[in-house]
Amino acid sequence: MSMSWLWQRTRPLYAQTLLWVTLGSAYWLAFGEPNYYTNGAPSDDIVTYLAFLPDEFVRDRYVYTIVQRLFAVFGVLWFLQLGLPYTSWAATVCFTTLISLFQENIFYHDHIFQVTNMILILHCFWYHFAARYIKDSLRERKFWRTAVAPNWLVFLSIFYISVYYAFVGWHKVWVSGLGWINGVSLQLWLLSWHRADFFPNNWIVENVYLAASAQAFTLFAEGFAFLGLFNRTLRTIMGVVLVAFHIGQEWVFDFDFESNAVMVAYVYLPFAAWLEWVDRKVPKAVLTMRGRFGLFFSSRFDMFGYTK
Amino acid sequence: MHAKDGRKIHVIGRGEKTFVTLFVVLNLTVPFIALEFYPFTAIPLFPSAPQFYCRYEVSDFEGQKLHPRLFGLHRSDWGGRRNWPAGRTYLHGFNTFGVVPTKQELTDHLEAVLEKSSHLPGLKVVQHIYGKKGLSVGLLDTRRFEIINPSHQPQAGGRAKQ
Repeated sequence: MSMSWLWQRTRPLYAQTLLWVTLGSAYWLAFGEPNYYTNGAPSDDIVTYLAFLPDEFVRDRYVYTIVQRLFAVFGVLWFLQLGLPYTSWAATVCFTTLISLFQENIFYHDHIFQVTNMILILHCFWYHFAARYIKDSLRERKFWRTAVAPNWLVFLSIFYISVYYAFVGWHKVWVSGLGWINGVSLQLWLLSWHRADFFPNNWIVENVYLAASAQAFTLFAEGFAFLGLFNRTLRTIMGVVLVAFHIGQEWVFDFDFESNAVMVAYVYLPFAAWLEWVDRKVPKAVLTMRGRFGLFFSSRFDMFGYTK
Repeated sequence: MHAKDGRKIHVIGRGEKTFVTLFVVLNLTVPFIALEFYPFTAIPLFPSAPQFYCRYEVSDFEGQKLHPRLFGLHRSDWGGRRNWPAGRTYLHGFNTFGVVPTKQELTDHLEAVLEKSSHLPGLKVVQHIYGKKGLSVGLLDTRRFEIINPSHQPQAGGRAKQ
């Protein structure tokens, strides 16, 4: 990736579908994941931008529900590309605020939201900077054929995932050194959480070498995720590794990182190239769309130009 | 701006370049400064490498089971780092995953806790220690302690029969 490539724009075939995936992930996190509040007095830590608000406000479940519903509305409007760029801003602010409310009300810090939130922020800035061009292209029904998506959007998505996973891996090495790969720690976590009586956990708990191999794979996947920054081949390899890691940890621990797995897959695996391939195969302007609804639909969702 | 064929060219402006630079710089610096400032994060997921853990059972001298949480002996680690920034406070307690306290450390801790419970004459504590056992992991040792409450004040008339 050269600097000049970074400052160019391309058709939004991949960028817009990444926005759909990100919005889907955000809805899953906003409505599908646990959103309980735990006990405990407010801490002195500043962990979100809401830290300066009165606790009665931050603690109020009614506020959470309102922000959640607002996100639902603005997210749909953004998906339909209506009210741009205001709906992109509103949806992003609502989602960030919603998760911030959750983080302010629990006694630990949850890390399943950051990847989706950051990539949502990137899309918000894309829509902010390119709002006029996007609206013009939609009006002319040329959105999918116009170079409105900046390459920095793709680069920063890859960059963020690289940094996120690298920090997880390097944090382990910083605290425990390479001795983190010892097998016993993983066996003890599984035993203490009563997750040792089904496959493959029972095998891992019975065999320290298998446990150490799983830890080595984890450290490799996380610590070397940044290789995805360098070229498409390495990105595909690390994408497969990270998705395999997520499937493994989901099976072994049942943590709630499903949205991360989807985001990593869509950013690291060559979906952009696959979409281009499909685009070349799909016949163009076959189906005639009529009426306001038909034109609205085709201009926003007919990414391969099947309709006219 | 327009190309020769009339197509619009959307030039990347200074605002976008500034945003890209800021995004990179903030994501590389804020986690080190703030550790957690959502959505920035330094992500401490399972960074430690514990080799042991303890599980406790607590009862009074009459055999009545008491919850270990009352004495800070509950399990309070979930793979993150202790005292990491969070929205609410949490009583982590004495039982640290990966640490096996000595009898003296355990006694000192419980005597300090019992100072606030003068009605209890003392506690019976069972400490189960788990760790490496060949290629597997399992129960390594079980230790039993009786802790006398130094601040115990018997209630007048003794304890009523139930």
